[in-house]
Amino acid sequence: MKVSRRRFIKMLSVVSVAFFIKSKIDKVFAKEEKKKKRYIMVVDINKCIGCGSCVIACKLENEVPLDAEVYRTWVERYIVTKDHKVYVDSIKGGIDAYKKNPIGKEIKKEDVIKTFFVPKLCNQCENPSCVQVCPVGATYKTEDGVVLVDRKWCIGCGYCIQACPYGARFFHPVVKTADKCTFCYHRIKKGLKPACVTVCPTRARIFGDKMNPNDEVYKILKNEKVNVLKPETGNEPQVFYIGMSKEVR
Amino acid sequence: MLNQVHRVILVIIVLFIFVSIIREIVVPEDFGVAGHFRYSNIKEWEQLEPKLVGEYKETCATCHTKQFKEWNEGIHAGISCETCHALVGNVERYPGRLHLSNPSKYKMSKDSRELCLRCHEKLESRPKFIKQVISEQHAPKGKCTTCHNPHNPIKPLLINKYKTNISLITNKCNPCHVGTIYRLQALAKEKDSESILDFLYSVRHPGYSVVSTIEKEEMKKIIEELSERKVEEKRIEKKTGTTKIIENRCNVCHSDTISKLRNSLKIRGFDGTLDFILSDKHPGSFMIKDISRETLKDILNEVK
Ligand code: HEC
Ligand code: HEC
Ligand code: HEC
Ligand code: HEC
Ligand code: HEC
Ligand code: HEC
Repeated sequence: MKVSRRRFIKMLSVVSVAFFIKSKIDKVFAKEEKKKKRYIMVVDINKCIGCGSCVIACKLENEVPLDAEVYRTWVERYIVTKDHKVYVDSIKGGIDAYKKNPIGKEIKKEDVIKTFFVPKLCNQCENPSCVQVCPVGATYKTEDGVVLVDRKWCIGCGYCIQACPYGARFFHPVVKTADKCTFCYHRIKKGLKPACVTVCPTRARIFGDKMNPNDEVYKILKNEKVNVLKPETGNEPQVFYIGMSKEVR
Repeated sequence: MLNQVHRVILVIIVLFIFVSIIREIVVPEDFGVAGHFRYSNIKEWEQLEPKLVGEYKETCATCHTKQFKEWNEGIHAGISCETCHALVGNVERYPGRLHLSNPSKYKMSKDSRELCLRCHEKLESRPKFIKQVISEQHAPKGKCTTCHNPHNPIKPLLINKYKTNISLITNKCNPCHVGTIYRLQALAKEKDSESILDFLYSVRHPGYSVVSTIEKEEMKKIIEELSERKVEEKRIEKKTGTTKIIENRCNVCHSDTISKLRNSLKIRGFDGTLDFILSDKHPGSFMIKDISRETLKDILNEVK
């Protein structure tokens, strides 16, 4: 086959135009990439009063049996003493609120340096180790950053429960699959806040999209000093804590 | 030789086809569309029905206007209705949406003692900004709602209501410093209202922008009321001592102690009243334990 010069030039220009258009399209998509959402939560430890409202609300909203000792979110109490011992307890996940006080009984009052409550939940990691170990692809990260479990697909092997460095996963006693916090995916997708956030009396939990400059969490991440739990795991947790001291693990 | 190779290849091909068919049947269509998972599962999670009404508390206001108004003006305004009405209680706990669908079938709980103490019991680990009481001393038993309006608990029910619009303070100032009323009151007892106003409406006060949304006159009235705030009482003529005790101690809760006493004398008689006030049946007994029976006797004699 012979190609005339004219034909060759025509082909060349068509190809270059095609490339030009493709690069434009790529750019548009890249922009959309930037507009992508990334849901996160900010927890202010200074504001948590340990009332346990979030724990109950979470269970009601997500149909986790109230009396089962498994929690999608729970509250821990930390007591740090002068000899740098750290006492952590979480009586039934904090569901009945903390009423008794170990300080003054088991622990001497004058030995206590500081004591506070820490709400915990799934960190919706950027690099979730639970997703990596699932043998059947039943757990995954959505585009907006929430790690979900496919209840129809999960075989209940429990690898993910072992793999989570935060102990945020558990075996659901009714559904009989692995289960975890979903950031109340069904609520946030309808523009509502997660259950634990709506019931918190002191706004110790703040939820939002960290990609949106108008969002409260965006401003907090920009202006305040925040920490994450166990940064050394490389999981890049997406639940950020304000006022967290180094004893919290 | 060739035959054997053919056979092996045939077996491999058959196996491949077999596995492919099985995979086609078992693995759902949308598996792997956006990653190593079943894409439609995202929709399944999304489509679950929310159960808590959450931040749309106005929905409750359509039927419970009175409670909503009280709540909206009070210090508990930051707390969702459901935090108190859906989560705690010995009856079944129903999230708001169920109650909306059928209010008399799905009754919301309204326990008070267990509820209030979840947040207000004295605990070392609890941050200081939330006011805490030692329940055994503050109210050893019974409901907290005998003395506090749960929707606006700042001052116990029995004493006089504020005349000025005190909710301006609780709504606007509390986000920055908790317990503003009491700080303001303490300050008003020391300084005159003009110098407090000067400070509040100047740039020296970090809350300047919020304060300037309140009329200065209005604020002045509030401060003056706070500084003068004392419980009114028709003074008993003659004699000393008694008035002081009634004013300082009983009037913390009652605004009309004397008529209460007279009423009780009629019903219970002299000794009956004395016994009642000191007994556990009197909700206020925990705060007046140090007043002796003799002193009370004198008071009763005078009031009679
Ligand atoms: C459609 C109107 C309606 C709405 C909206 C509504 N309620 Fe009610 N509510 C009722 C009625 C009617 C009753 C009385 C039920 C009865 O005693 O049979 C009631 C009773 C109650 C009670 C008292 C229960 C008792 O045992 O005395 C509480 C507390 C309550 N509602 C809270 C709420 C809250 C919180 C919301 C918002 C999530 C809400 N209600 C929204 C109609 C409504
Ligand atoms: C701090 C907790 C708290 C919050 C927040 C709260 N309530 Fe209540 N509410 C109570 C308690 C406790 C009672 C029971 C009062 C009693 O013992 O009579 C009650 C009683 C009620 C009743 C029944 C009144 C009656 O006379 O039986 C209604 C209706 C009600 N609340 C509606 C609401 C609504 C609507 C909201 C939100 C705007 C709300 N409440 C917020 C604690 C709360
Ligand atoms: C879910 C937690 C929660 C529950 C339940 C709750 N409160 Fe509160 N309460 C708070 C918070 C938080 C504040 C402080 C608000 C502020 O200062 O801005 C507060 C403030 C108060 C105050 C005012 C303290 C002051 O500054 O003088 C009183 C009194 C009070 N609550 C009484 C009650 C009573 C009575 C009940 C039960 C009907 C109750 N609370 C239930 C969280 C709660
Ligand atoms: C007999 C009436 C009575 C009962 C019952 C009662 N309170 Fe009080 N409460 C008061 C009075 C009076 C004050 C104001 C005391 C003061 O200013 O020193 C008060 C103040 C408070 C305060 C604010 C404390 C502070 O440091 O400013 C809280 C919180 C409180 N009560 C919670 C409760 C709770 C929770 C219950 C239920 C277990 C309860 N109250 C039951 C009368 C009562
Ligand atoms: C934007 C946050 C903010 C708001 C809103 C705010 N303040 Fe302040 N205020 C502060 C800060 C910060 C201080 C100085 C630090 C401190 O003493 O807590 C202060 C100090 C004060 C003081 C002096 C305290 C003292 O003991 O000397 C008073 C009184 C006061 N504020 C009253 C008010 C009143 C009344 C309002 C509402 C009309 C209000 N503030 C609203 C942030 C605020
Ligand atoms: C902590 C709050 C509180 C204090 C302080 C208090 N009371 Fe009471 N008192 C109550 C409450 C609550 C009731 C029951 C509600 C009611 O009937 O008003 C009551 C009831 C009474 C009654 C019975 C009223 C009746 O008609 O049945 C008498 C009499 C009485 N008080 C006298 C006194 C005297 C005298 C003092 C001071 C030495 C005092 N109280 C201090 C809270 C208090």
